[in-house]
Amino acid sequence: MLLKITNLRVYFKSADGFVKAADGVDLELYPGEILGLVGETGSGKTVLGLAITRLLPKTAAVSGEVLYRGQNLLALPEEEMRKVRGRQVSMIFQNPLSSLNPALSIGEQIAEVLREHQGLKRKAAWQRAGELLELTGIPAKWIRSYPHELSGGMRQRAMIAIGLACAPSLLIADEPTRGLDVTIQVQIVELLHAVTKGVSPPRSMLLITHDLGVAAALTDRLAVMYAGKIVEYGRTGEVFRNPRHPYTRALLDSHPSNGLIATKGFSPSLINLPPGCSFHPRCKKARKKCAHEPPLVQRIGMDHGVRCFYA
Amino acid sequence: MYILEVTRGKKMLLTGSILIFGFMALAVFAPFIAPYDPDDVKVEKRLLPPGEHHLMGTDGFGRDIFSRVVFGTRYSLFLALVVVSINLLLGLMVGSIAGYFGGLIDELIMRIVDILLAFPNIILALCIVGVLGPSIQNLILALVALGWVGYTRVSRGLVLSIKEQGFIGAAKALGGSNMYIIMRHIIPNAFPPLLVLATLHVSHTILSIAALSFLGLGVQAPTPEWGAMLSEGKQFIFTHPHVMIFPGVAITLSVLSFNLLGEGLRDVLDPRAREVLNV
Repeated sequence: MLLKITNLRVYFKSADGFVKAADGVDLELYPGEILGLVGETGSGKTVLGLAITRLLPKTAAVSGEVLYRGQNLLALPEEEMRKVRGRQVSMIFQNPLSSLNPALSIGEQIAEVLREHQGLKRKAAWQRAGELLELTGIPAKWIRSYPHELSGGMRQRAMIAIGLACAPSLLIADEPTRGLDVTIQVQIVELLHAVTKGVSPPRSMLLITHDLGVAAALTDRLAVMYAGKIVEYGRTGEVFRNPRHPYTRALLDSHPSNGLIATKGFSPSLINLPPGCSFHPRCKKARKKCAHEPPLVQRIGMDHGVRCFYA
Repeated sequence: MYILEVTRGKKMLLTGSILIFGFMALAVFAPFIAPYDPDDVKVEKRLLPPGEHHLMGTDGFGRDIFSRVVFGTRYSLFLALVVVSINLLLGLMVGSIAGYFGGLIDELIMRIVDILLAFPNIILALCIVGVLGPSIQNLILALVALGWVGYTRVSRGLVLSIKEQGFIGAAKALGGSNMYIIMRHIIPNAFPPLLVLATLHVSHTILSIAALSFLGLGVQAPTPEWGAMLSEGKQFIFTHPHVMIFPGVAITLSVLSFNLLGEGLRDVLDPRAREVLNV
């Protein structure tokens, strides 16, 4: 097992009380596997990614365990953690325009990472930066271009090239296709597939997305998040064919290809979660029990679990 | 060619740059441009008016004023550039640390800056030079002692806004150390606005150096420094005004050229102004 998250809680203190952005998350990620984390905006997906790399603001209270290769990342001293970032676990952010430094050319930004982490000499670092750009589909002659000179798709490719610079074993991609044209999205999905499944040994990836199409195309397994909790997990095909949690079903039904059926109501405030099952106010199948008893995860098959009494 | 592209249609930037290049050339090639030795005293030729042999006339010791103005460029320009560079680098470093780390370090640095900003700077400079004795080193020290705080304040403000941007988070996510993030990501983005400030400060510093030298606390006679030349000429102001006019013109022109360059640079480097120009 590459990554094992146990009972991860991330709370933010606010004037109105604690915001429970992640509330007891358990996740497992195997080597060479792509795990999709799907859910609507505000379900805590991004916070989970930031918690793994410990990039949350200092105001966040984090508890639980994030075991990476048996080592608890949450307990590492900052200096050790810094060595994990980039080299072991690398992040690809959404919105590459703001995530790229406008004052440095893309080649410089990749070369800097290589020099800082791998101690490469200037020339070797530039050479490698050119190779990484080629790998992600940017002609190496563009090495001296600045982020503002590139298109959205190119910027995302450059971001991926930077993320791959130190050959990490785990990529965390946070909405990598957000804000891109559909045709470009396909290219980025193909690129992400190539740099994970296409290398040997295959690289693992945690793909955070709200785009079910992207999740279906890329992931081996899927975890569905709702209001800070994982409500269903399983093999991607299994979850798509046989969604057992009412929320998963609602999420799939809301996809345009399935008729664009909207779920009633809004996702709950993370400060005042409904008692019992967080989804019960919106759930068609909810009964009395759901309103006061929080459901636990039930295993309903090989590697398929659901947080629902009536799954 | 890029330079031409940038300066096209920007008269201030172009004029400022040309004047500064002119002053730089004067400073570098002073021995070839000056027709006489600037320290060559010839009593029989004292206080000659501007004319064929002496372009700007001669001073009270019979020295050629044109040669002295040309050599004076070296002192005024290079002292000002040295002082401003030290201030800029020191202020940028301290300000980045304060802005980036925040908390107690920030509080401590900024309170020191506040205290220093409360000092009237020319008086502190007078004190420093007065106590340590007039020399070029002490002149630099006097102008750096308070000069860096302005840059610290501005850099801190810039860093506070830059450090919230996405690419700083991305650099952290890739395992960048604090030092690396400050040096490679924060400073390159904070530098352009500071450069404008520094260019405008060069002219200010030229004036301060001239003022201190005029008061006898900066560069000492017989060194051909413009402020010191003004001081030497003040006894002849009514009888032979050319002794003061030419160094005065040199000071004014150099100050003007740096102001033009600073204003011009601000227009080029300000992204909003740039967009307007491109449209």
